[in-house]
Amino acid sequence: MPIEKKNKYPFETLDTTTIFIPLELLAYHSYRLSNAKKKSKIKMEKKELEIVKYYLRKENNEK
Amino acid sequence: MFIEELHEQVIPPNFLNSILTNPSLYGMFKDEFEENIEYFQGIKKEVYLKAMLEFIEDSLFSGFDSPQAAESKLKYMRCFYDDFLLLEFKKDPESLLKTRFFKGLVSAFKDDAYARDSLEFKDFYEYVFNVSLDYMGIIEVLTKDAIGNLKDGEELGIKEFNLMCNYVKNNIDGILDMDIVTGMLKNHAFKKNHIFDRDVACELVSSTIKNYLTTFGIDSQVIFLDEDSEEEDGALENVIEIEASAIDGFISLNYIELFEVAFMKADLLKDQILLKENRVDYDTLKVIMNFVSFGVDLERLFVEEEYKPEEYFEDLRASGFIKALRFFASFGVNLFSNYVGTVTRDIVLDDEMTDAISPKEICLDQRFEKTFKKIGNKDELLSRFSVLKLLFSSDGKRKNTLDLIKSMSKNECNRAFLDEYLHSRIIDPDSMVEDVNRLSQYKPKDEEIKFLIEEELKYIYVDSFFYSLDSFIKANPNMDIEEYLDDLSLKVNCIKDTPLAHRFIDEAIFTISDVKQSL
Repeated sequence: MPIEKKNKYPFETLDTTTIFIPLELLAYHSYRLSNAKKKSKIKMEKKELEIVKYYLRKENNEK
Repeated sequence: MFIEELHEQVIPPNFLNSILTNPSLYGMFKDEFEENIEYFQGIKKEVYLKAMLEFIEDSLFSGFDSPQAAESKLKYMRCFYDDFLLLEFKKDPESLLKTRFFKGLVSAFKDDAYARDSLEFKDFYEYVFNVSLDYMGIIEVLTKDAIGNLKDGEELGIKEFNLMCNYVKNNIDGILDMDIVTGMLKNHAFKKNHIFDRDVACELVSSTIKNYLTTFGIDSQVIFLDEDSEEEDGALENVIEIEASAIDGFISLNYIELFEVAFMKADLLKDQILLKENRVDYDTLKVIMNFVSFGVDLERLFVEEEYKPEEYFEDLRASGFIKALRFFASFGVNLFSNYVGTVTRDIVLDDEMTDAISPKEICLDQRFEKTFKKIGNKDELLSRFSVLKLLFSSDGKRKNTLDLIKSMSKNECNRAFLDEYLHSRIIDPDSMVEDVNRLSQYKPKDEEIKFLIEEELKYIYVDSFFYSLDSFIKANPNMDIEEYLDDLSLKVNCIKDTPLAHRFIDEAIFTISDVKQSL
């Protein structure tokens, strides 16, 4: 029998079955890239590349 | 406790064992130590006491091999407790938090068959915790201020922090309140002199994962394995094993690596259990939908060790990482910038990089639907999972919203699930008009059903807004977003401060930011 479900604090926001926001994806890919031995082996989907480019452009404009 | 010495001499364990188990030697140690200091190799009595306590702590965790061993161990433990330990606790109550002795007793009481069955052990247990001391009462007094400060979100002074570190690693409950976990992590992250040792880090991670899984009604255990750790005998259920070396990064403030692995393993266990238990709840539905949308073969998963569907595991890894970031953000430790910052330095925008984990820009329900439509034999899935049976008719088509609401009145058990499902999904635009017609025309006598239908119609209205906003923004990429939001806020005023309004605004903001980024 499953045990009684407890209060969700502080896990309310941890459901990742629905969406990843772009900032999270960017953080994840950045993390993956910095951990990868051969960076050229990292694969990204086109849409993700667009997100990365968007952030890079934004960052450059702010500078 | 007892004495802390630099360059401690090591006393052989068999000599310690002899002193504790041989009554005349023990008597000599207790009453005539100074007279026989040469026999005791010139080592200070305090050093012996410290080593004996560690020996006893270890023996509580290593278990009792037989009723005879239990009897012998209990005998010397009781003597040592009465003659030395109890006096130390009375002299310095804070020393109760500095020993693994109490945790060891609880561990033996819970997990050791010989200890559990021994009347002498139960008697000793009762004597230690309730007769000789009011253990719980003393701990409450000792930790009251520090726990109060953690719950109020205040920073701890170094003394309070160290006291809480001892409380965390030697707590007898096996699981810590999340207020304590998050408060301690926050202090560790922001105060440079506040340092954890490995045991504290293990307890905090273990409590986080155990608490996380209880939100799904799952009881679990977390074990940290050294390279030379023996394999578990399989008697334990719902065990999450983490390599002890993962703690190293945590100690040096790299929180993510450890929490990423911990959340990933917790999710894997959660998915496995929810699937096995075949519950009718929203969490189980999400797990099944996730598996189906990743094309996972459920017959093989968790059965064949070598079957590792790539997309599912890649998603699990990304989820573990993102969960770790979100978890820290929930108590004010923002680690996003650490990772996003590095991208500008390291990333090489190479267009040859293609195809990996998909951004989840469409909702789970719709991702599931896309794959589910293509499955030839839907019967197998529908008959296997009760939660799918409730949402789909036997021909594999989704039941309409009205039929779902009607079925809620038939079965009380499904009511909570359907309520959550109807309020969480984003309805398919194709069936929206049909659903509105059906729901508007139905005139139930039951007041509760009437209320549910009114609620559902409101939600469909919000979803229709979501779709129209989505297409409107895509058709007008150059519009002024701020101006549009001002106009939107006026419209939202009419349903202000209701859950509906929040969903309305959330969806609008999500759509706007998503579209802005893809421009």
